[in-house]
Amino acid sequence: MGNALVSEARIVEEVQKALAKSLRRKEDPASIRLDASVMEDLGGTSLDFLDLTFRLEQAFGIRLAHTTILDHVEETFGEGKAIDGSGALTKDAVEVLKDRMGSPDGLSVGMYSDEVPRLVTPNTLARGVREILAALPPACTHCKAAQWTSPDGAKVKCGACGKDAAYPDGDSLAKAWLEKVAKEKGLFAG
Amino acid sequence: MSGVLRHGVDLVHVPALRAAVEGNPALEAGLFTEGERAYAHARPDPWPHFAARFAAKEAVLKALRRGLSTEGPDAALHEIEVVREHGAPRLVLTGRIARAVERLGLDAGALSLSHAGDLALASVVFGARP
Repeated sequence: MGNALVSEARIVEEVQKALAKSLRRKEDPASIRLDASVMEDLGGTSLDFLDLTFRLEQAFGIRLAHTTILDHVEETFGEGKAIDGSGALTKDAVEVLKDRMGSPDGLSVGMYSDEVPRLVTPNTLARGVREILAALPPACTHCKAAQWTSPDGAKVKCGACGKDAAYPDGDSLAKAWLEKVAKEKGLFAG
Repeated sequence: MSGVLRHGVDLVHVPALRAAVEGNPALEAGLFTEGERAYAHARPDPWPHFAARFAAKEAVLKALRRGLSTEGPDAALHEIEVVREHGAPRLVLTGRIARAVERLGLDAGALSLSHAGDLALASVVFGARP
């Protein structure tokens, strides 16, 4: 569930629609499997991947994380904590990615970060959107009214002043999530 | 020290890049720096130049074995800039990408671009830092 105005079904629908458009898929968007690999099963390239994340930002009026969770690890806990000297993922980085991506098959210590995008699924994308939508502020940051509305069921606007909801950006939420998970699991301490 | 040498190559289909950017204009500023956009738009046909620059960014990421963000548009794309000096393209690396290069003990990198027909290619080689 994203928030009271944007349903889980709508999040999934927009992810499937964005995938269908970006990847120029001919089938009914609703038939795109949520556990399919965007790159390996759906034939997405890195360019398609960028295109579809921009589409999701526009559809929901949000800003997804523009920094990888691995970069957040290194910025928060220090260089070498996510990626070792040879460029491979550390044990704790794999733990974080498992939590973040819903334990996809294929994640392992020692793999390179350029192997991670092939593990991304529509479910992974929906998770990023959901995290931001769930952080809808209680009231409009412009006029302070608590009158959210969503005429299209995806973009939330203030019913009083008409301005788009100002969600926290994906990077600040990802960073807060990372700090919480690292503390709970005792990661990156050494 | 052969273990330090890194090579990345990438091939981009120019019409695919053009279709993606024309279909979603926000992509242009997301993928390219202001300098790269100004350079490409100053050419009679900007698309082979945009495609070659995107290929260069991908080639650097491949050479470093660094994946693009799995969650959203990756800010690292702006940390890899292609500039032209005296006719030859050169990489300008900043931020996290520059730090990754430094950590791996690599030099500034050598870039070569080419385009023919619908394809644009970039090749990037990093040697050991002197």
